[in-house]
Amino acid sequence: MVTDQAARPYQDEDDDDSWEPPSRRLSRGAGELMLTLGLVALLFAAYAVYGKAWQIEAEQAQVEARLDHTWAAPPGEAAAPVPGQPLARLHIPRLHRKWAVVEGVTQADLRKGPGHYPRTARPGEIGNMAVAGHRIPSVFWDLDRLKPGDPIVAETRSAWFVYRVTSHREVLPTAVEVIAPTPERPDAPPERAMLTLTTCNPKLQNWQRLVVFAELVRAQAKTDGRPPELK
Amino acid sequence: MMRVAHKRLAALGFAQIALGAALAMGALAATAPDAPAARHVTAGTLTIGLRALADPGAEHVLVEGGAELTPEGGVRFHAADGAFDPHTGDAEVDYEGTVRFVAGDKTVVISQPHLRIDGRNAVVRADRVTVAASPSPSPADPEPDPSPTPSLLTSPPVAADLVRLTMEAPQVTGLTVRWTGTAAAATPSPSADPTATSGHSPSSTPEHAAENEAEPTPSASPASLLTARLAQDPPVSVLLTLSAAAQPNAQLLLSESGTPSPSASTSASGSTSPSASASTSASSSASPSLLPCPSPSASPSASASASASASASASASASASASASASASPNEDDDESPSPSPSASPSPSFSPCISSSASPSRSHTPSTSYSNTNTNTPPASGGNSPTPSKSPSTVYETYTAPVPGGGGGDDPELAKTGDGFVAPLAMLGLFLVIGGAFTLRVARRGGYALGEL
Repeated sequence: MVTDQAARPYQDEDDDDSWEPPSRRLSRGAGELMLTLGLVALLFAAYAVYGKAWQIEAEQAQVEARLDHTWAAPPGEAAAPVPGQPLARLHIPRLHRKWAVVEGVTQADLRKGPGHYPRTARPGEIGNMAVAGHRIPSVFWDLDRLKPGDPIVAETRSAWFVYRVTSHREVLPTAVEVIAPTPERPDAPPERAMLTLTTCNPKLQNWQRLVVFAELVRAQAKTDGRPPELK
Repeated sequence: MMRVAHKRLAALGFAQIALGAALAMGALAATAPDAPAARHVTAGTLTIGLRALADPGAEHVLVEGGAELTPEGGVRFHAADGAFDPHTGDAEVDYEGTVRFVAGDKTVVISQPHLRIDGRNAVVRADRVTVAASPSPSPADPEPDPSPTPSLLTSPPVAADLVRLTMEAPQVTGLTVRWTGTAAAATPSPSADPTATSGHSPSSTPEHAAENEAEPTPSASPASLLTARLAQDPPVSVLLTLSAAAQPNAQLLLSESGTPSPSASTSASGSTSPSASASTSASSSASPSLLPCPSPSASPSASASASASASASASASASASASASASASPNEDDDESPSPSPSASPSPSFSPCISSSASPSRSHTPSTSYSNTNTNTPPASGGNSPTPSKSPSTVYETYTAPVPGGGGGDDPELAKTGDGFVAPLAMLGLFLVIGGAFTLRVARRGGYALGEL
């Protein structure tokens, strides 16, 4: 009788039917911990993509307003672009997107939207206007969908500059010659007006850069209305 | 019985924790963007100007073994094996093929170039041998005497840094990588004369006499002359096709050359090393590209002598490796080449393969020459000194190109437009969620199965 009791201590349903072996509690605790941590990790990863995208959209609203305010004011002297301040507007009709491009490519600048590499050409200039943007849904997420021939329109205070995509390339982050005035020959002087967009590649990672080259095909004054590419 | 069940459940709990931790670590390690594995090179070419490779004044140029001449005055080698690290942009490729430059009574044979790209710097290294009396390797005579007399062997085969290149950044398109570059400087032929200790008289080295004008040091004048001529050369282009999947062996190849490994046996153990040991080559002919001696006629005695020479020069025994290198013929794979016969060589064994003697030095020297010190220190002894090295295990020097400002840690980079942690973090979270749900499920089901609820 005693040995029988000792062998089956929890057959007695009256006192502790909720008793569990500690090993099962341990397993359950570990499982719950893993589940919780996994959910936290997933949520943070989602925030890193969509939360930042949302932040950039909110910043873009302010930057756009500042850009419109600047352009509405009478034109002053042609000052150098101020880091962090909007410089131009970029339209990509195929992606149904437009952004106000700020000057600078630091992380703070890129939190406001696409950033213009300092010391590269400005819109319409002979040279290479290089713009970097995050690979997140509100910025350059679908940049790989651009095909050769797709228009990219840069808008300044007084003019529209219509570029057309010529090619794209995946390079290592150290391939800084893609933003040189002539990417094929980094030491050559600028000879044509180009636009280069860079973003991270592959999506959600950053060990490569996706580079999209475009060349200026047409310039149009603001007084002549919107270019047909944007209609 | 219950206690057994409890113990099983406890073990299950710990196993789940361990599994979760392992999955987490694995997810972090497998998807960390900072450590993408290197890729094997499946195909590729190296196109380089003839002037960058050769002595001037060659009357005609013969290619064989897969190399081909280009209309621009260059020669194109096809890749045999190699690796490319997409993170750093470094690459290391072995090519196959042989180029002969025949100038008068002197023939310079350059075979099996090896390219190492380290950032913007690259070095082409190849086996190089000079044959004094050309045994008529003319195009009209495709079958020269396969067994010339050993007196034609004026210099044992040595691996030399032929050309230094300044490369532009690689262009990655899908699985292909392309570099273009210019020959920055050429290094003179190696200084050390292994025949000096191998019983040959020093007067039988007209290569060094011709190049260095009786000056024992590898003077810079041939280099500067070559550099001047290089201006007319077509640019060097390198095209590689990578394997789709990252392979740990490729990683091994790249990392192996970066770490000093003073023992030849250590570097010979890595089968992906460009300087696969002679014993490896004789035993396995799976990848002829890697074999320093692709001849299927490698006899057991040949492999025995080759491995003996490897161990001999690994132990820096001068006399042993000298005899081994003297026994090697300068042509690695074909019978129709004007190969001096090793029959009269001091080595007691016949070695039909150039690399069986060169492999200890080949595997030895790159392991230290590309270290980050950027010094010209030769691997084993003072071969950089003006006097020729007495040790045959250091038959050539290594010239490490000075970093022109690009090789530092603070390279300019394109703007960082993404977070590398997102994909690993999402993968980790997914693993944790799945593992946690699995653990919960198992813990509950165990209770049901044992009837304990």
